[in-house]
Amino acid sequence: MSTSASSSGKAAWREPTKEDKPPKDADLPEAWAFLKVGVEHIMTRLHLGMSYSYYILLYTAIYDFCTASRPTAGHGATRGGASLQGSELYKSLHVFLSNHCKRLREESDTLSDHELLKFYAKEWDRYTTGATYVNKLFNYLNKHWVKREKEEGRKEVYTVYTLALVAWKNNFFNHFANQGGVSRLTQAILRQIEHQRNGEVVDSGLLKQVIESYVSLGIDQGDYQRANLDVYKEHFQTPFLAATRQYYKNESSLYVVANSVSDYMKKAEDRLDEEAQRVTLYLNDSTRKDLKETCERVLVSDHAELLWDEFQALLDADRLKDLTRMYALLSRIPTGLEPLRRQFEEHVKRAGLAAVQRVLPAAGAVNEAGKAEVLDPKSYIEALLEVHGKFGEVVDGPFRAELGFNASLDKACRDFCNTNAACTSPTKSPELLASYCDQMLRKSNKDLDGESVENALNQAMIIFRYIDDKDVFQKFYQKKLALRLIGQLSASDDSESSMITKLKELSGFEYTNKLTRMFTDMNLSRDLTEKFKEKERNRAASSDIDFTAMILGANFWPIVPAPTNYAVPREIQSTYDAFTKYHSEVHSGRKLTWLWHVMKAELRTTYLPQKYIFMTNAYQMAILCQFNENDSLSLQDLLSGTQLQESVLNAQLGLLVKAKILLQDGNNYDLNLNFKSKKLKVNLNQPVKSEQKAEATEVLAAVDEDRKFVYQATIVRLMKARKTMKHQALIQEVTAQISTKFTPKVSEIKKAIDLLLDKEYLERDEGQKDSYSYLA
Amino acid sequence: MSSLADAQKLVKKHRTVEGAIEAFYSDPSMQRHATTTKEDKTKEKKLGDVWEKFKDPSDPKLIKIDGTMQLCEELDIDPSTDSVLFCLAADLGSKVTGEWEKGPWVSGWSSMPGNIDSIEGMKARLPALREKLNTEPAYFKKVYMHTFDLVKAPGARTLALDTAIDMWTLFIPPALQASPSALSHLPSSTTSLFSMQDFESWIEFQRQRGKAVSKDTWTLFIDFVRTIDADFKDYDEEAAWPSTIDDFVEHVRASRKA
Repeated sequence: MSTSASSSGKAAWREPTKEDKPPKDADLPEAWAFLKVGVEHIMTRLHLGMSYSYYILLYTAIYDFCTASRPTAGHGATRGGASLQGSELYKSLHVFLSNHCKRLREESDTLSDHELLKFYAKEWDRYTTGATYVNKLFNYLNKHWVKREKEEGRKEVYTVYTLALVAWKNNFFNHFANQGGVSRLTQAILRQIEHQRNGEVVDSGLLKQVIESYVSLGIDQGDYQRANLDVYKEHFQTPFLAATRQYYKNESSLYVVANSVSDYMKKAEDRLDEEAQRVTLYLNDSTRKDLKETCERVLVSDHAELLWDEFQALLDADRLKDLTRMYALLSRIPTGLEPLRRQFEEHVKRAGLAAVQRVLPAAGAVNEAGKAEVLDPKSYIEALLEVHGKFGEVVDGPFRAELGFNASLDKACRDFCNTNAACTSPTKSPELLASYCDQMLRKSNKDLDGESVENALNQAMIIFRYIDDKDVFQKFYQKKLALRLIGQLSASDDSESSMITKLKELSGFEYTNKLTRMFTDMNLSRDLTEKFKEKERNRAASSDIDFTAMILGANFWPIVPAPTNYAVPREIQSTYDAFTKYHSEVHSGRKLTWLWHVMKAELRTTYLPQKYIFMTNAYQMAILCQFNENDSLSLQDLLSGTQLQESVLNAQLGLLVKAKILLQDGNNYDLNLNFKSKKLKVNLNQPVKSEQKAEATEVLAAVDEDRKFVYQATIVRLMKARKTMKHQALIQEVTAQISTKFTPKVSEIKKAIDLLLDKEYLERDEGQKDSYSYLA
Repeated sequence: MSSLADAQKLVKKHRTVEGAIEAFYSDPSMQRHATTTKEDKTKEKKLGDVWEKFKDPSDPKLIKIDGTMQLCEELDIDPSTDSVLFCLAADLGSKVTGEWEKGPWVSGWSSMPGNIDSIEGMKARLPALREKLNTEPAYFKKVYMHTFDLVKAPGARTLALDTAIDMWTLFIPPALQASPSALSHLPSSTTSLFSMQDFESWIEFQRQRGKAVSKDTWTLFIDFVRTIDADFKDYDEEAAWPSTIDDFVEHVRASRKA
């Protein structure tokens, strides 16, 4: 109970007592007179308090009035009577509430903006609190009369609380409406929001209260309990969104004129956050989506062109923060990212091409030895990787690893990894990649420890994924692996097998089958050599020749015998015979072909005061062995002694003369008895130039052969499964299947079809020349 | 009689017996075979007698090359320049150059119109055959295709280049120039858009290429001639043409540009 006097100037409140209560059978005027005082107190002076006993008195009076039997009521119509009296009571209450609201309307007429909102909020709070109490007080009416009326289908009868809301809405709220425009109350709200957007402080709590009343006033005719947002949407949300659109339209169009795109993006981002915050602060959550869309349209979509145009500049300057912001903004709108992805792809492609250009030797550049500078595979692959790495980070960072940008990155990388200034032929990139792997895996690669090699190989696999002609890589890799294994040039078996595992994971068992078999051969060869040596020891054969054999399966190794004859030097004949015999015992039926051109030998000198070891190839060994008998030999002697082709012999003689082991005098060669070298081990086994060039051509020819087979095999496999296929469908399927291995050409597929037609694996269907059938 | 050989042929071609039966009843010549009348018997006897006259003394089952030369003389055919001989080969089922079996000989002649039963009757028929070859697309294709198998080396899958060029030169120009032309532009023209000059380019191209001609190229060349536009513009390299024809089109386009 408050002790302060009412400021309204009315008499101080005196709570009625039991004596004031009307009799049970009081008529409406009498009963209502008593009730009205109570209701008015609750609705307007509840802050002064109300005793429990008075509340019970009022409650009882309502019960009495509703249940009293009236003479006017017909026979046995106790309930019917209640109906009639309930109705009178309901009407009186309705009139009272309506008048109350009309009074508020009059009081608010002169108020505007903040004052109006404050008044409205205060009255709303008092009114709804009061109505809650009155609703409870009229519980009996609600439970019986109202309930039955509703059951009988009367739409215009509400429970008392709802009745209060209806009265508020009809007699107060609706009167703010402006002819055809936004209601005075809503305008006041919108002006407050505008102030806030302009940076002024406003009372968010007040706005929240007023806006919530819009939600409460949505009365669902079917179910009062259900929230109905019609009023909120019509009277608040629609004008609010329109005002928002207008506000940001003005703001953004002025802002972009005076500020940089970068600043605008910050501004837009702030505004979008702020509006999301606004929903949480004082709007109904249902507005979130529409508000977001409205803001995105005005702040992002309407300025999308501007952002797109700025994208290239941001990429050029590596402005990662701005890129992050641009992505975030444009990802909000449909198709906002599409132009970025395209530009990004082009940009990455250009960057890749430029990077390759930078590592290319300048035209006409020569090295120290005066030869044309060649592209270093390592620089080339690292240039590709750098571009991929850099833009991979852009995708993962600013572009949140979004799929579309990943696809653009992949497409760009695929483009510049296969076609660039270094790719003088379409097979150059895979060749360089294989050379890069070779460099990494060789003993001579001293810069790197095992872990770093592993890293480098993982990087190589990134480029491998982008390489179109994987079969070309495979052939070059196989060739180089063979040379590493035969020459024992591998830095580590672990690294070698790790690389093969990676290739297998990506391209399958078949792709690496031969590589794996090559390793197996190396291991088997070691065992075989050991057993052979042991047997020789047991035989007590006194040979001071240390011999190691490598048995290479002809199907797996890309090495064919050189087209020259070779006379086995007398000095190794017994070892040669012993091993040949041993091999045929262990593997009867296998044909043994000696690959002299890849053999390596170490010869000890006995003819010089200093003992040297000459590291030679088999040809040089054969030549030098001839000098065990003579110190001077003619070319003719050497030709017949070694049986080598003249061109091969000459090339090797050239090397020996150059190393000053032999002295040339026209067609005669003399052993240099004054040979001197600082090193005790002299490496004579230098590559012959023409061999290196031939290698690439040879590999590519092998690739072409394989491809012809792949075309035919793919067609046959498909036709066997389908029996009959249309030309176009066949071309498409074959293309799709082969693309994982290399880039197929339609003209080559057609040639393969021609061939299969000629060989009668296929025939054209009668009357449908563009359809083929498989002939079993 | 027809029935066994024909039935086998039909079943092979149509893959099922049902299909073969249907084809049988829709082909009048087959039915004539099947319903031999008395008059037919007499006619067949006479045709057989003509055959006997030319048959090889060393092989009682065949007319061979000597008999063929004699026959050509009596029919007034120049075997080196007259394509009508290939019409006869196709119609009378000759499977090897200059060799004719009696059965297909008799049934072939008797299924031709005009009740042929003598050398004179045969001779009178020849102009119509020459005309038919140059003007009827289906007949042209039949004879043309039969010729491939006839003139290729035994067991070979391809046709030696020189032979192919001879045959093309024999068949194509007269048909191109005939009206209506057996090589008329598809679907509905009576003349061909493929010119004599194009034909010469084709022969020249084949000489440069210098390779034997596959059956596929031989066959599809006719389809090509009948569908190509005058400017070689509408040709689709990605369609099901043999790559030899692709290369030819490229060759012609390049030489026209130059």
